[in-house]
Amino acid sequence: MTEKNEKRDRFVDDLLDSALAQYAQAEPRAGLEGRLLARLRLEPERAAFGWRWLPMAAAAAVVLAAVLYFSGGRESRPPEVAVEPRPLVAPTVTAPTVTPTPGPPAPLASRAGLRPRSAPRASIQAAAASSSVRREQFPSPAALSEQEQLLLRFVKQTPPRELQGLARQNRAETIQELRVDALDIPPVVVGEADSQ
Amino acid sequence: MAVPAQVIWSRAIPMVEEPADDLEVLVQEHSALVFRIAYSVLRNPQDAEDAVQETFLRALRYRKRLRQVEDARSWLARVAWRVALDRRRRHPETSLEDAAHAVRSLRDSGAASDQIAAGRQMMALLEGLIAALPEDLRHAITLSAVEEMPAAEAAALLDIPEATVRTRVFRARQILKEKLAALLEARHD
Repeated sequence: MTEKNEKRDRFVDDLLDSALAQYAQAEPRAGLEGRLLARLRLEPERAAFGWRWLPMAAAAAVVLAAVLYFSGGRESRPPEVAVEPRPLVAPTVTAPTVTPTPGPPAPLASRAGLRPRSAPRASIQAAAASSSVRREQFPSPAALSEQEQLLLRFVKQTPPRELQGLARQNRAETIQELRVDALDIPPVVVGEADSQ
Repeated sequence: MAVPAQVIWSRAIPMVEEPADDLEVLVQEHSALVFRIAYSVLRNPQDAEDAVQETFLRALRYRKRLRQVEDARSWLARVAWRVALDRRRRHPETSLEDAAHAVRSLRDSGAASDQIAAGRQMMALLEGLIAALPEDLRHAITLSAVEEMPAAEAAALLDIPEATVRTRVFRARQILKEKLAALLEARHD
């Protein structure tokens, strides 16, 4: 039993030694040196080629970048909102004149580190302009109510004399209604006043 | 028609800054060692040759620095080792059982150990066993398998003391032997 184990161990030892000895003993294909030298010979040529074309490639890249910048820059800008620069005036005569609302002060914007956005600002300006348009008539014309229409029809159908008579009569009635009786103040008696 | 290496190199001379005789000498003297180091890691002749080319291309790139190196052979061995490790890919898993079965059959047929060791199945079995080793042991046993690589040189390449290389090789061999014996005895269980 022991002899068999020793024999087995020896076999495994020999097998491992032989296998390890052959593990890295591969031979390269014939002509390895020639292939290596040929490959190495190509390397400087590639490097020289690269250096020769590098300045031209850099110049072409700069030109291309400039073309893209100038052509694409215009197209990429957001369309500006066309707002007529109208003076902002209040619609009524008595109201004070309103000057156009200025944008946010530049120092504030720069202090906040925020770039003013063009689109919201344009919309604000458009809204302000639309709200400040001077109206032709104030108050705005509106449809007459039913009572107003009846009154208008009555005025049109009634002769002017009758209208004037009605106006006088109405005015006289109003004055009579407002007539106040004369004040009646009794005389003051001196004796009575002292006794009190 | 094959072009002699001398002729090829002489054409390359005008393209480089200085004569490349030193690099040509390095190729002639050490390409076989570089190939074996790469092959011990990559286990494929084509991949190993690619690694050799990359190694000498790096040598060409760093020629000025290479001239200051005292031991160009060790420098090349180190570069080849790193290039091979970088290029190493996971090989398809070899079935250890199948390889062990083939090796057992050869042994039972009365084949000698060196005959069995030369067989493809035994190499596949050994590759599988070495791949399963811890990395430090695997590197040590792999470099020790390269015939031209003495322990001192392997130690310099791995940046460890020579005694550590020997210890690791010994431990790796013990593990390999135990596993190999177990696989070869598996039939009797």
